[in-house]
Amino acid sequence: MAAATTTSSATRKPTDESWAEIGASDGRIFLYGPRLGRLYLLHPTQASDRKLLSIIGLPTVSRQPQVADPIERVTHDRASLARSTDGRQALSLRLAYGVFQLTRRAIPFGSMARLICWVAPLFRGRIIRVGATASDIGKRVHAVEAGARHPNCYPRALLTALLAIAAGSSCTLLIGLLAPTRKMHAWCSVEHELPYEPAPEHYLYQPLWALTLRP
Amino acid sequence: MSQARQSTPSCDASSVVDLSGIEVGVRPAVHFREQASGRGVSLYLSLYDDELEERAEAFWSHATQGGGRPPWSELELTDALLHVDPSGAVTVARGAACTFPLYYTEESGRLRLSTSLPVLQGAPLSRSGLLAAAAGACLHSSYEVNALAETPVAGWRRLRRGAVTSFDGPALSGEEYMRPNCTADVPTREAVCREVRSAFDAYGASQKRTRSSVVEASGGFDSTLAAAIPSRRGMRGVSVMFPYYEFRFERAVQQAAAEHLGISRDELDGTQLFPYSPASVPVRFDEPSVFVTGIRHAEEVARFAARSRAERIYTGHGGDQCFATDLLDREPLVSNSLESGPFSSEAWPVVRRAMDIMRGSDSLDRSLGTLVYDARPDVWIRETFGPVHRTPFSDLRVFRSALAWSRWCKAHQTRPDKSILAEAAGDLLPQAVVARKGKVAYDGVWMRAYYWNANRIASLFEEVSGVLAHIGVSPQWLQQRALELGEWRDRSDREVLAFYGIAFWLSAWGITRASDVAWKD
Repeated sequence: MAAATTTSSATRKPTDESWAEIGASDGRIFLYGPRLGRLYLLHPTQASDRKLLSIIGLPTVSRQPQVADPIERVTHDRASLARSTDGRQALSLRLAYGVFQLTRRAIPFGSMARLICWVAPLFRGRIIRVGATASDIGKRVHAVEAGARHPNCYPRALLTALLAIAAGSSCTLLIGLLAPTRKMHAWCSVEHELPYEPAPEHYLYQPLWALTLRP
Repeated sequence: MSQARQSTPSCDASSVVDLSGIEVGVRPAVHFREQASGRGVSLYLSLYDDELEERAEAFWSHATQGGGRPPWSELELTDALLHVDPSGAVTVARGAACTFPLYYTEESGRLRLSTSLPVLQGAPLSRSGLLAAAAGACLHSSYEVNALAETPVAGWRRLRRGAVTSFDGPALSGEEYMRPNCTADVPTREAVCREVRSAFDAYGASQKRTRSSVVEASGGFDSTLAAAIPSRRGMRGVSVMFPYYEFRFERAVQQAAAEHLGISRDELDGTQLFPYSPASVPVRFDEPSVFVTGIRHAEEVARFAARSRAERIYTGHGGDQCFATDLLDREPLVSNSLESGPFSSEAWPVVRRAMDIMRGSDSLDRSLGTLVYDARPDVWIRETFGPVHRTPFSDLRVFRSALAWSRWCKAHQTRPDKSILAEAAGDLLPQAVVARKGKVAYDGVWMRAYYWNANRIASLFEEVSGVLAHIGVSPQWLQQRALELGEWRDRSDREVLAFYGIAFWLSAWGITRASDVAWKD
């Protein structure tokens, strides 16, 4: 399966974004606007209004017929790490998870992702070793979540991205929708793997928006 | 010395059995075997005609070994046993996953039992019985409500599943849940594995007489195991497909399962079988049930089976409840309970009281097995189309092995999952099924169903609006809510689900005005 976005090395940017629309079975269209981190259900005329798209943070240049889910396998789930003996994780990781959770209403997902891309290199080699694999990242995320009060996909995806960039790997953050419900899911692909998802469910959610981050 | 008589397996009409002076009405789908001995007279009832004899004999042999006392905990979950002792005392044991209804009433000072509820046969309807049914539909989804014994027909009460009920003359004298026998020691994982395997082998052997069958092949562990019986001659698979993103991996897994089983596989278009789609044949259930939202799906699978001349429809129903649920825990009821909005000030306290009783009921103890299998459509399918639903997960041995699995998991502080099935019966499952991603969420299908069927649901509420108003429920409120759900507004569908079950039942029996029937309360 192809990655969500591809760019040649000559045109590489630190981030790369793509988005697609999903039909809602009643003629309307779902879009995810990263500027405010909101899901929109629009009539087709609205969904093709460039001005409106620009306002909600969807440049037409990034529009794709569909955004493919790059995940080829889930590295770890709750069952596979049930007997994991990883101890408490560094305070910085637990803090980061908490910050992602606390700020979700204040800072849109896309903005937080870009912020991660900017600050993660500062932690390079400090919160995780450079060259760490998706499995290493998954174990760290699992250990942090084990102590979290309300673990969920939103901080999990952002923490995974933070660890991936700090380890020197690129990653792709995705927002998907179980259409036509309003149920959304966030996940992060590292080298086509999903490092940790307690109960694999990302495959149910059709990607609306993807952002590739590079170290 | 005992004597036995048995029902004719092909009988199409209801029978009335005189059991030492107790009148027992037995509907066509239910088969029975009677045994008389010095300890009294017993009637063993089951939907599974070709397994009846073995099941009854197995039960009675336990009684012989146990010194004559009926071994209630050995009763198959799907069956029932009626016993009249020489003094005339009546005891009824109804399996926790009983596949047919069972009711009682007092008539002219005598006890009367029946496997069907006499709707429109002279007895008035009960307003509180209908409201209790709505409360049950809300909290229990389509499971037959076990916490309450009240029915919509005044004077007739339901015998609880998973319980032994005793009568002193026509009056109820005692009721006790049948607790499964468990050893004190927690089994090892290897022992659980052997128990699971042995239970599935016994299930496979019990199906040896089936000559033709259909399996509703979802591509999961449960339906594949249900079909993995030694004798698969004449078996066909049928799958319901949806053209939606979340279902994109389903076809390949279902095909792999069918190939592994060596059976053909047909597909039904799921978009024609959405929840709330109407059946094309009359559907008269004994009591209101939320199950009728899925009636079109059940009908089409049953029709396919009937066309294939299948005797059995194998399904994996109950697999999640047995092996992926902690059976030592209590069942949590739905979080979004009924709103008071549609109820009158007289009706709301009745509903609230019913919900309170359900919340505190012992029947929410999962280890009883009362929440393993929802058998509401089984009798209707048998009587309308011919084939009989069959799942391994309501077999007593399979349920006991699942209990052992829950006990092992609890001792090892882990959640039960189906890894034990892969371990115990991996050779019966293709790799595509074992490696399947997980269950597909049906939330999107339900949303689409509301979009397509909202007007029809509202029309049904309109059709029986007089009766709804009579029992203290606002049809306008329900219609409005149905239309809002159709517009995908963020609303709970609990009330619509519950009263769709009630409205469907009223309409099916032709009770569209309050004056169509007599009312007790």
